Amino acid sequence: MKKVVVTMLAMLFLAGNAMAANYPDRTMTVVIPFGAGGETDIVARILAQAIEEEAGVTVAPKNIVGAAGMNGCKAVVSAKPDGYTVGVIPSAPLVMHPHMRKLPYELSAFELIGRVTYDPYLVLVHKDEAWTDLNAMIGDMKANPGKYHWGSSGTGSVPYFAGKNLFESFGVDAKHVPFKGDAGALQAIAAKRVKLYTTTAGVLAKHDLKALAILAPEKSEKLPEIPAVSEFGQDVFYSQFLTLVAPKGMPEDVIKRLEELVAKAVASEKFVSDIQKLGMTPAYLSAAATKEFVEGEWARNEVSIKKMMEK
Amino acid sequence: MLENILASLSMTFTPEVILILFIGVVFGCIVGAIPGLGTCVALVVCLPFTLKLDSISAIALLMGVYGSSIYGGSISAVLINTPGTPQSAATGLDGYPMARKGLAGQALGWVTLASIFGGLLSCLALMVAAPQLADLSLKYGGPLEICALICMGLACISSLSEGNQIKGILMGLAGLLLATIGNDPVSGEMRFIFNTDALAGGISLMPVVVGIFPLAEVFYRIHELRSSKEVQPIECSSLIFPKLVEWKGRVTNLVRSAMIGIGLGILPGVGATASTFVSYTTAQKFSKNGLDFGKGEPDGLIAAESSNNAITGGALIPTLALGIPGEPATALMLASMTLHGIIPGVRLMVDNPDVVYSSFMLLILANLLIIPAAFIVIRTFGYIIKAPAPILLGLIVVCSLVGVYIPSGMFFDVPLALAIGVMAFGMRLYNFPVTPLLIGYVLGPQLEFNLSQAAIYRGDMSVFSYVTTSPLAMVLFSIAGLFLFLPILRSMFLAGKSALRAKV
Amino acid sequence: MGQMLNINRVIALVFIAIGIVFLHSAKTFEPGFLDESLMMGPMAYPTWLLYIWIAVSFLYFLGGQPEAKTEDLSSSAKALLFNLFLIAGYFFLFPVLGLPLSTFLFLVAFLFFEGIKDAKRLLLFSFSVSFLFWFIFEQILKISMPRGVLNLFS
Repeated sequence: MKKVVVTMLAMLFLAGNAMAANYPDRTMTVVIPFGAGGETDIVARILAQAIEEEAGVTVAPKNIVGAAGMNGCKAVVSAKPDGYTVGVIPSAPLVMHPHMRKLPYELSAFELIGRVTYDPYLVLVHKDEAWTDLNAMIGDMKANPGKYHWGSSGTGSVPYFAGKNLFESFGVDAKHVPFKGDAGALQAIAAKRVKLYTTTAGVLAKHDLKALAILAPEKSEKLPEIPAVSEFGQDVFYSQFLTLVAPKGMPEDVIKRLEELVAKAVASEKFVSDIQKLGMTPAYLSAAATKEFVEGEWARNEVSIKKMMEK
Repeated sequence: MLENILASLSMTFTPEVILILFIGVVFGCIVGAIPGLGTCVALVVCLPFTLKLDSISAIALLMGVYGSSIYGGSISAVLINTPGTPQSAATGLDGYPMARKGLAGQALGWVTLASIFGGLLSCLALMVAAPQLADLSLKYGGPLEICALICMGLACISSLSEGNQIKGILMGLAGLLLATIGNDPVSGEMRFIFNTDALAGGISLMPVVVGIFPLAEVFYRIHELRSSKEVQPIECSSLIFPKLVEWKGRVTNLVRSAMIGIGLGILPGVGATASTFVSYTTAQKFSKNGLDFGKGEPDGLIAAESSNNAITGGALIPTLALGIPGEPATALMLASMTLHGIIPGVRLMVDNPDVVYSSFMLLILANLLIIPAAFIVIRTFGYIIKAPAPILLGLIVVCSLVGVYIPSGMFFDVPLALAIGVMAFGMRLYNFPVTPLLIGYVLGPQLEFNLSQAAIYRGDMSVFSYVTTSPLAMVLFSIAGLFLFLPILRSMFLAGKSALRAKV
Repeated sequence: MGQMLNINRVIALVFIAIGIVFLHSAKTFEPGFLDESLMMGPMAYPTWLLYIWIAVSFLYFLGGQPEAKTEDLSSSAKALLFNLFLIAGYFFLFPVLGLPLSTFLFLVAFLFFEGIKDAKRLLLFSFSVSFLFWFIFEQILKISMPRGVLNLFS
């Protein structure tokens, strides 16, 4: 009897982890700070699959949902820095939320491995709107202060800041209406309850929308007919980018190897074609370049958000 | 159009697709039926597979799982009094009493047929009128109307807790308040977290559902086992379908409940749970056997089940026609389709008509395949519930743990579920109805969100003039008022009458 | 009228107390970041709810009758408490020991206490369930569960 118990316990105690010299040699976990089926989630899963092909080990996505990404970020920051837990984080929790309120993590707690996608935002209105370009819209709104509504995917989201900044730079008074994510806002535009929304180009194919401007320094090659916002006199730049991050404190060689894996994964054909089907743009930056880019975004947002909070 | 239909027939009726559909249906049924798991878990598990399959197979898998998991939840609601999914909570109200009376097989028969009917009717609506319904939903789905609908759902609380209304209302309010803890979706601020990070995400759905139903039930059973109560074991060897004659007088209920399900499913955000309760309460008011609701009345079963499966078709309407997902499940389908190059939305019918027709056929098949899946699952379940109580209860606890942890990945949810379970058990002991808590909790966030939006749209108008801009909203608010106050007045009236009689 | 203080009245008082605590939190709330166009502040809706809650609790207090039928916990209280601690232990050990091991230990303890004394059946069942769950979730579905500090079965 005792033998049976001992054998059972022994079987259950099978330790499968000789500390190996080769990283990665067991299952990696990719933390996704948002819910299953959302934009971040799908891209993260595609990335996980691509990394799995390169690395030869299982890469398991794990959704840790809550508090607009805070829970997921916290989980990544407090994970063991052995390279087996990484996270895919979009721009808002990384460079915007820390300026809004006190969070249990900071930018410096992340080891930025690489940028995966980068998509500048478009200023979108319903296809049937009379406005032909941004100037016409701004002019109309200035003539009718407080009459028009614009949508965001929630206070503190990227579309929120994009819209707020846009209207403040141009000196327009329009009313903000929060929605739950893209879906709600797009529905409201279709129902003509709000006039404007900002998001990435992926939605153009699905809905009856037209883009009045792109919130980037220059026009995009994919959509050359959309003028850049700088042409209208203001520099309002907003974009959605996804980065692969890991907790700080990993050994050098692990960081290097991880960087390699991500670079190869993002460059792989399947990844590129899948991401493009979603309407997004793969835009790899190495770890160093990502750090520079993210810190730049961080500083830029710090200035504009602090300004908004003072009002 | 004919070539499109023929083309989609050949796309759909391949052995591979049908097999995947059937696997999806059985899998969804099983996962939905296991207390503690549910639609969320079923879909999360399917995600990796959908990314790897081709488009039609992926759609088949998702549709199969989605519809049948709701049905599966009803199986456990009837047999073990723990709805596998919150949408099945209303089913248990009449299903479990019937099972206790020894009519489990019949209860499941009603449930199955009503579900399939609801699902098929919503497929029909989807096929015939998707663009028109989508347009309607845009026009009439404004925040004010949705607020009114949610008020209707909340008002059902007073009917559901007849005789016990103060406690019911308190529980409904408690549910609403519970939903405010944590991250406010409108302003982004953290509320009532009392300086803990753990609550910052709020109290998510799974801990609440798992705490209220499976965990509280486990405690209750442990109590029952030890106290001297006579517990009649529930037996269910197979489905027993109701005879044709039993349907007399019930068909209107069936159709009406399905329509409510479709109507509310079209409006993203109102949610399946709300629609089942609205349909249940409406049926209670209109049915001849209204007084028997809650004691094992098939009318109640029909109302709940028909509407909760009708939601599946309803939620697909905005998804396919407008590219706007109504529920998380449909969001997944959307993403999956996009990855395969099928762009839902205004151009779907134009660009990929064969995919659209395939989806319809798959949905119809998925609903029909519930019958064989039901036989398999119910027979297995009937076998399992014959196991000695400790084994069953132990399994339920393990499944609860897993079911809470998988969707959110946060460990904190697990002890939270236990705490809620203890609280729910306490509520049962002191005659506090649990269903209103669930209703308040599920509908609370939507109510607040839509109220905020309505407040913004109102701007400077007076409340009265704003409400009168929407006749539909006024009608819905009045119905909500009736739902809320009639039962209260009736209870007061009955209490007064019996007091008078006592004095005489 | 019943005694002044019966169980329903006590519960009502507890509810009112909870309501007051939350109301205090709502009244002393300071938003970190506020958007002016939101007509309703973050605490507006909860505050109304709390007022209604306290009002209804008060009505409940006034109308509180001694409860007609309450469950008699005398025979099951010990078992309930024990099981509560057992389940709590399981839930808290879960991240420490990982899913399969903590499930095994829980099932053994739970089944034993609930009356299954046949050791063979007990162990076999607990082992197979734990193994089954581990197998299905880790291997087939590849959903990551907490590894536990012992980092078993990676």
